[in-house]
Amino acid sequence: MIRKIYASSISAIVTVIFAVTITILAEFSEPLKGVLKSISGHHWTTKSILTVIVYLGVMAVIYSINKTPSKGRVKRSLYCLILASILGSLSILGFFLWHAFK
Amino acid sequence: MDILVNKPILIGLHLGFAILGIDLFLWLAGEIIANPVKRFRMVWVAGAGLLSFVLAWIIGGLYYVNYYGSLVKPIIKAGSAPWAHSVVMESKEHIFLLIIPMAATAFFLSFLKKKEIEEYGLKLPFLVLVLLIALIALSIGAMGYIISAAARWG
Repeated sequence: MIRKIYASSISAIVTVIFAVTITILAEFSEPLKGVLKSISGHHWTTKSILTVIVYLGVMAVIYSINKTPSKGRVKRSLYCLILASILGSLSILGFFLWHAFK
Repeated sequence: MDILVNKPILIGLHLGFAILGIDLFLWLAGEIIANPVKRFRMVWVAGAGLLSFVLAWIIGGLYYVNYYGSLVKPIIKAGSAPWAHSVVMESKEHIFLLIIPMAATAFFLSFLKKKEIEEYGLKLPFLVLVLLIALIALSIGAMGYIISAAARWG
């Protein structure tokens, strides 16, 4: 289970970074937003599907290459996930505040 | 399948599952603090919390994609608080995407035995992660209230 926890936390960090990045990039690039919309009919639906794919895909890769993550690495990965989630949430909120009132 | 086109029911289910998810993750925080030897309840609570958030995500997404853009967004944008869409709704719909991978990680953590949690020193990060999930979900709930208020009372 430790292997799954480590893989999930690293994958969740990558997913948070991915979700924040694609959200901000799509607001600056109409062609990217158009591509996202063309895939599923709505840009948010495509982002949702992509976050699931990124999470499961990265988790599978990390799980297969890390047979026995050390105690320190597992703990650090969880703290990094906590930090990434806080920064990710604040980045999204901060970006849309800036975008609306610039 | 009439339920899929019934807007008040969709909103009610979205809100209901979100509240259930928050409650279950707060319960999970209590389980982590208690740190019992038998972990069945912890796994059940974490699994039900994850499932609740997934259902809130899917049902809320269904409403958002099919009805919000055409029915609610124009009212908010024409009202006195257009920022309720451009800041609050935009933030809400995207921050929600972060919750599922976080909750899935908490679900996997719930399977650890008491001895493993202590051996790996994971009690504190597990607790902080679970409380953060509940806090972010509560903030998203507050955003939902602002959006709803802007649409109703402009």
